Amino acid sequence: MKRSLLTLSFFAGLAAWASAQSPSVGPSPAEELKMLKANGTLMEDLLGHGVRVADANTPLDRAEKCRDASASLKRAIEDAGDDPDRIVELAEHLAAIIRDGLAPNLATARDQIHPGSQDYGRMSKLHTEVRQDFALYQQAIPSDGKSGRSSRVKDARQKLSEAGARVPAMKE
Amino acid sequence: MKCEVAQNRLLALSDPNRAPDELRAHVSACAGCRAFAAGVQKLDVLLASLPVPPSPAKAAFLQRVAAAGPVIHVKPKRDSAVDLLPAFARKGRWQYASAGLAAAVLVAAGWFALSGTKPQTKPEPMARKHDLLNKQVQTVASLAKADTPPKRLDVWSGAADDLRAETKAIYKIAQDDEMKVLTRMLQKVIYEGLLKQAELLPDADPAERQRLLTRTIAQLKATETETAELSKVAPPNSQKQLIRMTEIARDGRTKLQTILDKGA
Amino acid sequence: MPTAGHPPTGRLSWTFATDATEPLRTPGIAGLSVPTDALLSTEESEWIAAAQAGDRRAYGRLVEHYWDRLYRWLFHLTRDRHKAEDLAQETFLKALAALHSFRPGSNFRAWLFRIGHNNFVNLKRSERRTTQTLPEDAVGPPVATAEHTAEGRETVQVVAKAVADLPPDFRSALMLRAEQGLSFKEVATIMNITEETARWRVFKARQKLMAVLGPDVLGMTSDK
Repeated sequence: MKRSLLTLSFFAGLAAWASAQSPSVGPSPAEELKMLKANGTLMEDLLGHGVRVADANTPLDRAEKCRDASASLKRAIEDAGDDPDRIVELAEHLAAIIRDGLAPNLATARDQIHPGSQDYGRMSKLHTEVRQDFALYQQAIPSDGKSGRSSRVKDARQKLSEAGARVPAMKE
Repeated sequence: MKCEVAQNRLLALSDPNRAPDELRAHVSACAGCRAFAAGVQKLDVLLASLPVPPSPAKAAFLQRVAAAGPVIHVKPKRDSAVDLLPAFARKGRWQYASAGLAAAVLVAAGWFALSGTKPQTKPEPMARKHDLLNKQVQTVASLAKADTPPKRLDVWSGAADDLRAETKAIYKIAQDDEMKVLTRMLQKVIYEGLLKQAELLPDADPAERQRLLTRTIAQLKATETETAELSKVAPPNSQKQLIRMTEIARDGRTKLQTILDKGA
Repeated sequence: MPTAGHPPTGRLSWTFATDATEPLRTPGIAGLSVPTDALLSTEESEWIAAAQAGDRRAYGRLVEHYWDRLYRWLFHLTRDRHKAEDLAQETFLKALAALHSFRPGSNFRAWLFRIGHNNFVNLKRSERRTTQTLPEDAVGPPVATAEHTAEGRETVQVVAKAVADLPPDFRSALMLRAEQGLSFKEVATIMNITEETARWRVFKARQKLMAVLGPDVLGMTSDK
């Protein structure tokens, strides 16, 4: 009886542990630690950006803070050198911030802020800067070397372009 | 010499036991100043004897130094390291921004030296994606979409749970400085995220407010309990930060309870 | 070297020193024989030279030698054991990375403490941006010894509280002078101020403490 109870509790524990993990086989503690060491600074940066996004009161403010978060990711891409795996990962995160954060908030701001209003100038400026940023984002991703030749990097570059396409045009 | 002048000079001495002849002469002849001088002497002795808590971090740090091997491999780049020597000659203060950036480079270079390997400015290649990084990005994106305090509170609660999971994944092998990254993030999530949004919860719907706060308190309690349990079985290198995380979670939970009670 | 301070034991002269040639008392190390400055200086120079040449054990010697002093001072500044340890660690790491820039023969202790001071300043700046922090550690209780009386412990606590109430810049200068035994010139170097400002801060800090602690704590008897 005791043995079967132990077996049951072992499997229950294993099931609980397994359900807490991702569906595929998760990283070992050593792999997880390596990733934490590689990404620690970036994650702390992103959390800081998250605080500022949360503190922002308007869609325009949130869009500005999302742009700041994008800049951190762009710097991380530049630091990745010629490492295709890392570039792909970071570029996809950059695309996510633009697609899910920056673009929707800028779109809402565009709908709410009218020419002549106090924030219109700020919004126009942000829009211009975001457009210029995309050129820099694309430049950050290597087009030569191992990364430049990687089809996954090319896909990531494409995802970034698609995210950028969601940034709305300014109303005339 | 007036007594006030003498006493001020005593206070300004480098060593209250050593005074110029003129001052000594006055003090020897003046009972009041003699008593004052004795007080200044005693003060300096008491200051030198103030207790401080013992520092267990010293032994751990020295262990790291010893374990890193006999040779230091730091090869700082001239253009990135801050040369501290000219700073002594300058009268003005350092530019904070450049000092902060250079400081980060210095600390990183120091750790590379202690790790016993050559300094690395780029992460090692890895095919596996970092789940926690992905979650942090999702946190930012979710916060960009969340336009009310309840929604933001939800996002921040999730972020705290993410950090709890990461802590559990690495505590057995992480060093103190590696765990510290998680401690800092947890602190930020709780103090600058959760608590801030909890304060902003609208009073208009007290039942919903209570539900949200009660749920968040329970989540922090779970973090507090788990990190406390882990700290009991953790190796020494990660114990300190686990205890800190427990304190942070407990403090956050207590503050949330106060917010909840205020609205009751 | 003890990290917890002890009130001095043994013969203690409360009479004002009349002999100008009496050697400087080295504060902070009660009841221990301390190597002379000359001997320490020679050994230290060797350690520094070896560490600059890549000898990690020599660097370890420097850490061993300076950790307690640095940590004590940082604890007085931060009033928080964890923060003091973090700052101490950060200071030694930065010192390791910048060791190549230290000019042999110049004042290593001041150089090291200068790095520590800058780290403390950076910490205060970043804390001003944080809305809430945990409460600071209370002052650790004095180590119980046969020499301690209840009255002695109370005195120490009163003095500790008065020191903690000083503004950080004044507290910093005072403890560098009184506990670490540094000259005003060294204090000035560490805190990036003029020697005159260093002297003034120590003066004001002592003046404040003399007023706050008064004759009861400091055992002054005045027949004025």
